[in-house]
Amino acid sequence: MSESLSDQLLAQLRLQPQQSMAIETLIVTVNAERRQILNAVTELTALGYTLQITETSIRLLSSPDCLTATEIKHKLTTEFIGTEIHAYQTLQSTNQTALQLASQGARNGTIVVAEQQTAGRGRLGRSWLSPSGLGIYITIILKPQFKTEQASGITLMTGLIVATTIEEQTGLPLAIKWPNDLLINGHKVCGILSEISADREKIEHLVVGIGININQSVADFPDDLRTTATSLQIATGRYINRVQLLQKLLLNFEKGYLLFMQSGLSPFLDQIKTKSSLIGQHIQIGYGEKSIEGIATDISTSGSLIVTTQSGQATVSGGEATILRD
Amino acid sequence: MNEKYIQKLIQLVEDSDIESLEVSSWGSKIRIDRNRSGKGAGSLAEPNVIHHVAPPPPPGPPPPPPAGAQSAETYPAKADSTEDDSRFVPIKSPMVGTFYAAPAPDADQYVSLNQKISAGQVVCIVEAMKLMNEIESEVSGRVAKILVQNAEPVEFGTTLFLIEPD
Repeated sequence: MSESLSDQLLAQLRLQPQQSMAIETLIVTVNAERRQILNAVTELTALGYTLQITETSIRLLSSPDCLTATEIKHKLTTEFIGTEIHAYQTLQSTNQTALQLASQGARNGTIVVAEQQTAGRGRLGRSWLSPSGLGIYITIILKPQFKTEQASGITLMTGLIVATTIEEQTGLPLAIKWPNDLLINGHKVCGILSEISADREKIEHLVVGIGININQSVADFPDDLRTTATSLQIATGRYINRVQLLQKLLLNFEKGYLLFMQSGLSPFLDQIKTKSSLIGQHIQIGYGEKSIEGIATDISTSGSLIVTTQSGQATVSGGEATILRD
Repeated sequence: MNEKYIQKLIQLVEDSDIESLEVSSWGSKIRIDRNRSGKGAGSLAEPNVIHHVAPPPPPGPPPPPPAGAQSAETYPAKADSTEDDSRFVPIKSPMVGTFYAAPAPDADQYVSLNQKISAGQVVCIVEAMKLMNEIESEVSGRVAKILVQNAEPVEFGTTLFLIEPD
């Protein structure tokens, strides 16, 4: 993607943080007319940047917490995750767009991010509420070399990475509800949904979608979600910078993914079990119209939940788990 | 009964004409059914892949290798009913997981019996740990058989559909 003039201008202004730059210099470095530069300044202001302009100079005072490619890339220290960023104001679903981009040849590590999703995907057609500017809705495109069988651990690995990143950034303790939800005090704050295009031998691509509630207030959730969902702002009582959190998340994800490719889920398993909200609990797992009941006792190296039922041990790889209160 | 041993047994069944195999060893019992659509008595309705009916084997000598499996009961394969399936192209599950015939519980199934489908068309989803795998048909043709039911657990290599190619 070629950089827009406003992106180029921003990059120049950031070379010397908090310093004024002469418009005459900018005219040369970004190769544009004075009028075009002033137009770009107007664009940046509309995006939420604060700039100080005099007759002869421009200074960048502050940047908005918006998930544009420029903001995410600025200070991003990953090696391949996020080298290509597709950022949108509104998408139906970042996973859907990522799958399209992946089949059109998007490279390993490309990310798709949207300020808002109008049809955020949950499991089996369920929705993920994604209001504008308040959360992080992102999908990472991966082209792994491992076998299809190994891929099923990716959701659990990602869940652990998101949980530890949020803990590092906020100090909040997070629980993992097997397999794909993150909870704060029993309230859902993050969901992960991975989709894969693969045959038995080879993975074409794998997309990992992450939705995190960040700066929603209680009023931003509809009534039916208020008792079950939460956001980082509600839990901490303070505003959370999304760009910073996302950059940390991408860095941690990259490290985690490299390890996952090498060793699968094993290196993550202890931590996943420790954070699991289901282990040791009496649970029911629904499976279409069937269900089983028992004590969740373990998570296998493939990521399956081991449930001890009255008739023996069941290895569960899907379904909807509910904790039964005795 | 360790994982390797069980995998070997599964392979054994897969490579043969045996329809179902039950093995008891050190207090554990395992039954492997080849054809899940034809659920016989004793087959499991629960979503478990492997079902131990007894506690784990006591410490002691390792279980005997499959070749010497003492009480393996095999059921002779039924002469594969009426149809010759060899002209069909199977669509197999690329992973362990749960089979879903439709994208959402209230949505239409991706494909129905006898429907004409084209190569690359999505025929179902297999899910494992919230990893959704849309399975596509490699060939154009007619859906001749649907061998699994919605929300049923499937194994790596389970045949999901038989397609009669054009």
